[in-house]
Amino acid sequence: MIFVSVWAVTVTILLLLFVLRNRIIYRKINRILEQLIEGRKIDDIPFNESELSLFYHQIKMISHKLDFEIGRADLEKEQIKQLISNISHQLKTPLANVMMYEELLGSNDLTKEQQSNFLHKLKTQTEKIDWLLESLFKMSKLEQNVIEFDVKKEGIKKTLRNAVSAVFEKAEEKNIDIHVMEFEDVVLLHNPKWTLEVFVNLLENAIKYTSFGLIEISFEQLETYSIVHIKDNGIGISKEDIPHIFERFYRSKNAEQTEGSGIGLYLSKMILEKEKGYLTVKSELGKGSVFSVFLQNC
Amino acid sequence: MALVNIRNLSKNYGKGENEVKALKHVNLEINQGEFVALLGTSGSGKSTLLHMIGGLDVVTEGEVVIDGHNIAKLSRKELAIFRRRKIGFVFQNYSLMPVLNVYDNVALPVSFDKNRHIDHAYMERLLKDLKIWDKRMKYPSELSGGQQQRAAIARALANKPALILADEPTGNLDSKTANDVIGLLKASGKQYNQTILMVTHNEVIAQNCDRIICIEDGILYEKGKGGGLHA
Repeated sequence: MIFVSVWAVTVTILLLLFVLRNRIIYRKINRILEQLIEGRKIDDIPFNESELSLFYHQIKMISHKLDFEIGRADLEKEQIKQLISNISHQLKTPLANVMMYEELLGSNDLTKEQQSNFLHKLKTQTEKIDWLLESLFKMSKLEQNVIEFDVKKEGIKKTLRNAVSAVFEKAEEKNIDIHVMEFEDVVLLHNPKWTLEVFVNLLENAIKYTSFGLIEISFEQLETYSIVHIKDNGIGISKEDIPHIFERFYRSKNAEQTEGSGIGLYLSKMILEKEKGYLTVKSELGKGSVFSVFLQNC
Repeated sequence: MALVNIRNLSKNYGKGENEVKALKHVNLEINQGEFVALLGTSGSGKSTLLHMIGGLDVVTEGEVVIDGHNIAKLSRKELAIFRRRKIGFVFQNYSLMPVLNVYDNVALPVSFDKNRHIDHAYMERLLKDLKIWDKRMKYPSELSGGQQQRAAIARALANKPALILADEPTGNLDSKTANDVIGLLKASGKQYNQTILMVTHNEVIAQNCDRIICIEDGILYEKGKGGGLHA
């Protein structure tokens, strides 16, 4: 009889302790969840092997993730503000030119030759505005993740060939040869439409910053990535500029005389990152540059 | 908010005449989500700094605060748990367990936390992202250097740590394989919102990072910003 009652008392005490322990844990969890909801500072974590410690740690990770997302949203807002002010700045010059030619064309005492000359210039400026708007549109869409990136397994050769034919005329005008080294076609993880954009950008740059000479395109395969190298013998990039050339609207001093907006490389880098690829550059001032596009193998 | 906050950090080795000042009053902040390269020649103090941040060595002066915790104030046991949960390490020599296959190697840090269960779906995604899913049953000795390092990166990510510290991750790899490994480190870093601090002496590899910090004789300089970082 005594044995039974001792047993009963022990069980009751253990049960009470268990309930109490659970209540304490529940209260603590409740407390940090309230802190999380209100966005207050979460209690410091005792680092030990208990379930509660791990739980604290995971709650803290959620809170960091939230902070990170909010911080990123704020940063994006700031960037969009900058983007808008940059857009208006970029558009000013060609727009002023358009207005000027329009006024000139409006006067009556122009020869036929002058007229067609101004019309031609007007056309160049409107094309520039069109191109600017087009790139800005693409950039803002990419930045806001509006475009769901459809990355497919496709042969790279066709994409590269399309890029070369897109810039072929421009190269020919400047007497620049584009030489594509022979290589076997490989299926790579990429979005042909946007990757074409990257290649065209890089090739147009190569043409723009080379007065005459040769652009070489070569291909190299690694274990998980394949690389398309685009090499020119143009003006090159200085060591100081290299860390900045992929920034939005960045233009090096050497490039100031050449037309451009500082969008191309930024856009290319962003496109490749969405494809889980990347872009590197090796360059020497006066000797030329090699841009290397890394795309993942399938 | 800065994830890593280093204030006036100094580290001396040896005493008296033999004293070497490896780090001199270093100040550094690393924000969440940044991929930072620490660029320097051998003997510049870059590995020392990494070891201080990882709590692998004791500071002489100053403090290292990670995620709001001054790591000098944690006890030995707390520090071990802190490191396991908050920091992923990638070393030059991969440091994989030779008796475990790739999958078990990658899952190892998670299995150390006795209350934590291995999230197999996450593991699969991770191994696929690092392109070693079809190698998961292989042992480290059956893998190439690049594959071993990718497994080591997966292991560092397995715990979803706040910070990844990589000490010359491509030091033992040829330049082609190095490009491979860095590309995947960067892509997975972006994918999983990781903060990464990578020590390297290779400038082209550092180019892939969001920010380059140079270290020389124990003093830090930010690349492209001119002025020194130290106070």
